Amino acid sequence: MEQQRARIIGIARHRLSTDGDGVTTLVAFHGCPLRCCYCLNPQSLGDGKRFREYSPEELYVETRIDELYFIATNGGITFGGGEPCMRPQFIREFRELCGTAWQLNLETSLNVPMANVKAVLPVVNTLIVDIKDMNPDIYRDYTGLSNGRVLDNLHLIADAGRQSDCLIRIPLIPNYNTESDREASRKKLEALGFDRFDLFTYQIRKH
Amino acid sequence: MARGKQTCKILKEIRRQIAEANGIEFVTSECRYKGDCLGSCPKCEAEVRYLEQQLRARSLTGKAVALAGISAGMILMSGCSGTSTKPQANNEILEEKISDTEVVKEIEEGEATILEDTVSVSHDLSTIKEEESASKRVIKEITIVGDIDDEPPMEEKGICLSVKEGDPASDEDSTKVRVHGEIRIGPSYPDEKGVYDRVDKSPEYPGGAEEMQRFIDQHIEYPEEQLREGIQGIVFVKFYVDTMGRVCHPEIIRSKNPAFNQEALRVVRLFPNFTPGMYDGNKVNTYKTVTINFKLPTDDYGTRKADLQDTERDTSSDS
Repeated sequence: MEQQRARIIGIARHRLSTDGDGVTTLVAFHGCPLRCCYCLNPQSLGDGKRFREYSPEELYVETRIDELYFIATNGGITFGGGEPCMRPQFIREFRELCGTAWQLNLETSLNVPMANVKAVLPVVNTLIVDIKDMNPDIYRDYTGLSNGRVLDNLHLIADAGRQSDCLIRIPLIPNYNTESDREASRKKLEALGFDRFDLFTYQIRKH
Repeated sequence: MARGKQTCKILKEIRRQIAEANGIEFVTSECRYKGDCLGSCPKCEAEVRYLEQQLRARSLTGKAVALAGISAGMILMSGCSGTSTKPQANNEILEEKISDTEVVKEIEEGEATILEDTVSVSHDLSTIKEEESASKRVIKEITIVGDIDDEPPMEEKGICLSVKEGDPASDEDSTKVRVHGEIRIGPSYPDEKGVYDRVDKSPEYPGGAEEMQRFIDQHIEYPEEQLREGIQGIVFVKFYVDTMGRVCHPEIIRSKNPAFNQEALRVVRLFPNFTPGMYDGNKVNTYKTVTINFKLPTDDYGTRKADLQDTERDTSSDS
């Protein structure tokens, strides 16, 4: 029987109050549909073998070491990457293993098929959405892709009434958008019922 | 203070609160780990295992176990600071700041995957020092009874530390860890069946974990009804490996669906002999837990059906 396996580029334990009040472990998936100019984790792209394959069970066994902290502090796992929403089945299986006591968070761009978001939405507690910019031209310029899927998925989340489970990151992207673009993004998101925002400036890294 | 040491302090405080909430004698010490501190080290991990053991014991004797409700955020606010990028209140806009989203260090080819999180916390450190200095709670004296190694991996045998709180001291001393009692991480003892939970060397399946998985895959027979109805399952089987390497008394400790339990037990009973666990230079009976997966056939992308679009491999090779 073939196992569901995912490429994981890194696991960072004991993150404190990064995603809510709890102790969390970041699990970063390999693979992302976007090619952002200021990507923080470019090792999530390409096929450089800088990853290890895990089954949900292996990941559960490895992360369970911090279960006491997770349960005591309402913490758990934050799936990032890369794009975690490319591995909905893996995350669903992980939820079945860890049970309901762990918080599962996603750091996602939402630039994935709606079926993927539909599949993960019921099993995750929080979504941290890196929206880039709501303007399609700016988005394409910065990421290389259309944001059509992002908008579809935002509507999906809004229709499910899960806006309050989302923290939307609206970055100021040097050389790509401006303060007024960012304000425009925020207004569009507010119109959909999202009201938790994190506004910050992308740091330009030299790789 | 290095970020790892800050994390260490906060985790220690969480452990202390868990112990306090459950009436567990908890005893800790200044961390003596000399390597790069990532926030946890063999000694800290041993304290977690100790708490888990104590909580299990409480649970077995029917006592209530209080776990939830400790806020790492509150601990941060109260003086053990680290980074904080908590979700903001409604409509509140943060001031601009350098991005502190997570950067994951690269995995070296074939290397271990536990990586340091490289989020910068430097902006918080100045406040910590002030608050700690104001609190004037410092360790004056550390008494070590028994042996303790400075270098990892530290075998937690016979360690008994007692620490006294002292008078306010210099700022330099104020960075030390405040402690509340005493911890005894003693030697490992077998349970009433003569089986150890914690050993120096765990039992090993001949050929390693991959061989064990291969054995499971080859021998498992999917229950017909579940196969027909497309039901999958996962079963956790606990057993002990005796000093001859034999698999003894397998039992289900967690299962998604009882329909899979008998088949999981049957396959575990077929296991060849393991290399026995070792403790203190001797072969000992040792507990082991394995997971048995009941998965329906998948396609090349690792997904069960085409209804979920798993796109990782579509994109991973195009850069």
